[in-house]
Amino acid sequence: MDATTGKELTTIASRQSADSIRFSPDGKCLASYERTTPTVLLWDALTGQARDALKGHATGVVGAAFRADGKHLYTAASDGTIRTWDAATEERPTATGFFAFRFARTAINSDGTRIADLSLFGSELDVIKINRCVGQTAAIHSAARTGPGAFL
Amino acid sequence: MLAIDPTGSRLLTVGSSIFLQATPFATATNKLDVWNVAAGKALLSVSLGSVRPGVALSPDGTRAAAIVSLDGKGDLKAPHGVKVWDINGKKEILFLKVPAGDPFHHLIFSPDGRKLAATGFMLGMGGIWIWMRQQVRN
Repeated sequence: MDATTGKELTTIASRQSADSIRFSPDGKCLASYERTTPTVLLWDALTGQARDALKGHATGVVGAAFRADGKHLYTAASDGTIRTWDAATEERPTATGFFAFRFARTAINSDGTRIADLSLFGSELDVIKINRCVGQTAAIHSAARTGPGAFL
Repeated sequence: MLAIDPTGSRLLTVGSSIFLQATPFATATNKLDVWNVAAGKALLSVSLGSVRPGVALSPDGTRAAAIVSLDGKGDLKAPHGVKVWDINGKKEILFLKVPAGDPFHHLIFSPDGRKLAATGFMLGMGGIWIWMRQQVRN
């Protein structure tokens, strides 16, 4: 019979604590971030070695998503900014969008065109559609807000 | 708390979802369920002494995982570990303990479902643990 075991691949000790993580689409890279720190860290998911520290946000990071092709990483900070990072070449951020929203807890889809943001106390959910997020300033296309009781 | 597979056919829920999502350090006695969304039926239902806001559903919808306290009572000061369930087989298949650290914050499967990663505390620093799924023939 087949049994499944979990082999511990790697353990990472990071000076910066991580309250959230995201795998790249190929599973080889891991991004870690926390809501009180502006820096996003990239790790090699096989060896645990640090790959990069993405600096640019002014406030803590509350959401991140790799684009489906793995070449870009989208990050959202609590001051309402979104940054796009070139994950493949380790170049510095390519775009910054500023939103009137103050993000609390966000989910970003894999092409960077929609961001869902849950308010701090879980009573409101904003879904923001973005026209463009790569290579230029992002523009809000539309935003929808739910009533109390929504959650991600 | 909620997690849904990419096809939208299976949904993982943990009791008191809004309470847990809104207050990251809250904990409570909870039940974890995985649902067949179309049929509205529970495929897996397990009681957890406690659960941190860290649950995950594998991308193929066959495994569920949760960060749980090892004392089974939900004491936040107790060490934490990660449990994995086989949803179709309705059984716990893995209990991952961390020797020097405490997975506490977040749990996530890789897109191919073969890796599982958790974050938490380790010796006064941030800790990230990554596990790889292995098939062992007995």
